[in-house]
Amino acid sequence: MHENLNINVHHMARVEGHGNIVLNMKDGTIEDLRLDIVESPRFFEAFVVGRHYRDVPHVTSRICGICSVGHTMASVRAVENALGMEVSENVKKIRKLLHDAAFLQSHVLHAYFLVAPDVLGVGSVIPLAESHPDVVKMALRMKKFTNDVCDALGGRTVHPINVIPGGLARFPTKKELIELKAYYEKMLPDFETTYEVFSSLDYPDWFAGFDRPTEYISLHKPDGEYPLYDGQVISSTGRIIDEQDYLSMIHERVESHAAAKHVSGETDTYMASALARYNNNYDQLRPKAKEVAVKLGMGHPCTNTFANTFAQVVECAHLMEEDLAVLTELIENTPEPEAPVEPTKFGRGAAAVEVPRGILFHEYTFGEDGILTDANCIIPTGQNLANIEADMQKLVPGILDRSKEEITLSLECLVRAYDPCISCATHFLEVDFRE
Amino acid sequence: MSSQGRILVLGVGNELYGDDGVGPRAVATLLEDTLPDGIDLMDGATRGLDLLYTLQDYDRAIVIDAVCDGGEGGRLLDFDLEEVDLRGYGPQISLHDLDLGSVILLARTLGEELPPIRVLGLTPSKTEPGPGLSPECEKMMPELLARVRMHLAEFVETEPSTC
Repeated sequence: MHENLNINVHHMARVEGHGNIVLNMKDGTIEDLRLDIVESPRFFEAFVVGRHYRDVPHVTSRICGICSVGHTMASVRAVENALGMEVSENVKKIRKLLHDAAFLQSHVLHAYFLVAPDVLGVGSVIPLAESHPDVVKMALRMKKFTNDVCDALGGRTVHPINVIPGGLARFPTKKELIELKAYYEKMLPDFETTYEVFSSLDYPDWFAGFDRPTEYISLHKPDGEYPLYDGQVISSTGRIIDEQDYLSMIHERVESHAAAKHVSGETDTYMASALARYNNNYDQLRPKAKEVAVKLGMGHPCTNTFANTFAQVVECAHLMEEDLAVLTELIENTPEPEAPVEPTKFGRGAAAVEVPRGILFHEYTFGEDGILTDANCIIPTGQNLANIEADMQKLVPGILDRSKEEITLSLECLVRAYDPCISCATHFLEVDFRE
Repeated sequence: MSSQGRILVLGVGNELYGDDGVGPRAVATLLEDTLPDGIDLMDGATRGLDLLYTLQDYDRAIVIDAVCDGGEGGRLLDFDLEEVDLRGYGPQISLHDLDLGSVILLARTLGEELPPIRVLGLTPSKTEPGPGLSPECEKMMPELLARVRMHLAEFVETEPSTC
């Protein structure tokens, strides 16, 4: 049992952006246990001031290369709410297909490339490719599939150009929809294998046995579908609010050790994530997804943070079934292209959208000329920071009999379970010339 | 299209991170050139894994990137990818940080087919956030571009009738 312990993981691996884990324990007392966010703020909310409403989604999409579809959806919906633009059900269906594809992509990559190496005890996907080449090839095939769907519906793989305020720049043809449906059907076996892979891995005890009930905040549609694109905002404490009133539930604050703001909800900390959606919207999951949840050993509610990856896998099962049904509908009644809806007012509007890592809020105010005067964006990782630290406080005392290396790994895995996206970094090609 | 098939000139890197922007900057300049059919120019930016699928669509590629070989900044490097050992990022891989070296390592490990890749790089000396190249790399940019054009001309001359 450790009495004194000092862990400092500088720029931890396999998270998006730069964060450090710090643990200092002296004479059996934890003096410091925190996740430092050392990345510089990027001031996107300032970039969009002075921009025309049509330009805003193209700028805010750049907040993240992984979640560019989600930021586009939140941005476009916030613009539409601010300007009184109501889009058709057909537009929503096509947008949702694109939105869902981004979830499939992000979940597959997180599960296979960022989490599986931890569970299998290898440092990255490269040794995983050596030991399990068929699985990694399959994961790449799934990534290619979701890229192709984003290309077809969004106009390109990242930073979609087809989703615009008021509608879509282009509608898919019946032929394209038929091809997409066939592609989804072709990919089903890979997803089936994925459910098997993640239900058969041997998880460490601190992973499988962790339990810390917390508040979960997500979208909610009591009588509708499993909500990713729109809905009300629900806290697992029971409170449900309209998305326009999100600031009555979501409270940001500055912490000295983090360049990103911490956020509290109805309680001191909460989790925004696939697990939050799963816990708050279990009844809306499709039967296949519930079947996969059982296979993965998830109860409901599930208060094991590490099971966020399982919730992502469950969502993959839900989305494959959901999207095949939507594609069938769209093929039977292929929508005619519609001109974008025009603004009916100018003012303030907010939108809450789920993205792979949790609920995302964008809020804008526009003047009469359609120029943005104020913006606020609250991303899931910021919302989760305080909860990550609360989870770390729960995890560490229970594993002090383990080696320093295992404690370090467990803390890294805990942070990675949130699939945090701190931001983009730099990329150099590093080589050694052979002598 | 060349009988050697389609050729990709791919600039890789983050133009908001000093000399990491060598690739995108070179591609932006080459867009002004009139290139023969069958040669595509692409700013690969920081697309990570997606670069694998992009490269697989071509029969050969020239990749322009900032290249760290342990030496001083502002030098031109011109080599076949097969000639070097790639370090990749090893355990530091994230989805954003899946650099070209890691992508190539992954492809090699999986036995994925890749086209022959010629790398034209500048060794970076400014590795910090912010747009713009260092004076050392800026000075070398004309030579880098000349070398890209030279290689493209060689490719075309090999099979002139088909370009």
